[in-house]
Amino acid sequence: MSVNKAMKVLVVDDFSTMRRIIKNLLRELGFTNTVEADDGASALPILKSGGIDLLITDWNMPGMPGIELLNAVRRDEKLKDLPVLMVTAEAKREQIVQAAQAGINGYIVKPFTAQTLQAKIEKIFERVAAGQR
Amino acid sequence: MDSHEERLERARRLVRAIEARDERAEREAADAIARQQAAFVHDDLRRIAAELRDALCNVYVIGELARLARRELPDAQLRLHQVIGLTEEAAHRTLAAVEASLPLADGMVSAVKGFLETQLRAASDEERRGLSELLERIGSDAAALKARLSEVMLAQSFQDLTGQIIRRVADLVAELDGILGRAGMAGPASARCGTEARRAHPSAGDGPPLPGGADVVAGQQDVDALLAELGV
Repeated sequence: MSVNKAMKVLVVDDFSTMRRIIKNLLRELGFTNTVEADDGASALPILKSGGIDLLITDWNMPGMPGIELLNAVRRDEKLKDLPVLMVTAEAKREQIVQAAQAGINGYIVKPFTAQTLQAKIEKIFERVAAGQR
Repeated sequence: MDSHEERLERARRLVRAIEARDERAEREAADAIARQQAAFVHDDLRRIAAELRDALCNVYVIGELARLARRELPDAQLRLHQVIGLTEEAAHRTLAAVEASLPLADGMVSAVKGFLETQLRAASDEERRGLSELLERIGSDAAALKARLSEVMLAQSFQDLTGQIIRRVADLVAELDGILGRAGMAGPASARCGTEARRAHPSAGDGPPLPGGADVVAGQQDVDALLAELGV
């Protein structure tokens, strides 16, 4: 599996502990180029300024929730193909369906394992490489 | 209350006794009527006493509510946010220790490996086997140690989950405080906490589900199955 380890990952979560954990896990997986935001509203300008290769976002955040951020990304001409991985405690079937319909690339329910994160990131980039979303 | 006929009969008995100038019968008939009147008054008193008791209870309950609104609710909000802050601090301390431990473990393992490899090159055939085994064990132990440290790190993610749950309860307390405030029992909660009830975004999400919640996935496998159905 050849995921570009130099890619830039934006981690969006309102809990600083969760951002720190995801950043650490990414570093263990070899991804050291990460940036952080604490909700959708602060993430969007970072995304729009360019250079982000993967967005990992929580759903339930004060301000702009993750699902709104996903919608905003898919509406944006420059960002619409950005791979988005949701990492969230939201576990209702209807929410997962909603995220799928909004164009999510992967969905991880908290609490999760390092293996799950690795597997989902690899799956996303396998699909990107194969030319499908 | 006695029937209309019974009351009429008691009155007639009294009239008959007066007409017959039968004083004893008149006293008895008058007593019967008086007993009836006393029963009426007794019923009224009992009803008034019950109403008074209810009213006093309400005064007490309202007083208690006002006390809660003024003193306890603001404290409850502060305490809930304090729990989030303290668990967050604990999680960050653990994360900092793990972050510091990982390179220490790496450094130690590579130093020992380097030493053993040097020894291995100069070793006799007899020593070689023991050294190779040791080298192998160091490698697998190091991998196991890193996996455990990773577990410790991931366990800190429960702070996010408990934090989300506590924040929902804090929002409920803030909302209750707002309602009591509008009912004229205003507490200084919002002013003291600096947090108003968070107006939930329509798509803000619910946070971690309650155990046994309806229409909730059981875990990552369920999510993967559902996404596969949806072609993601």
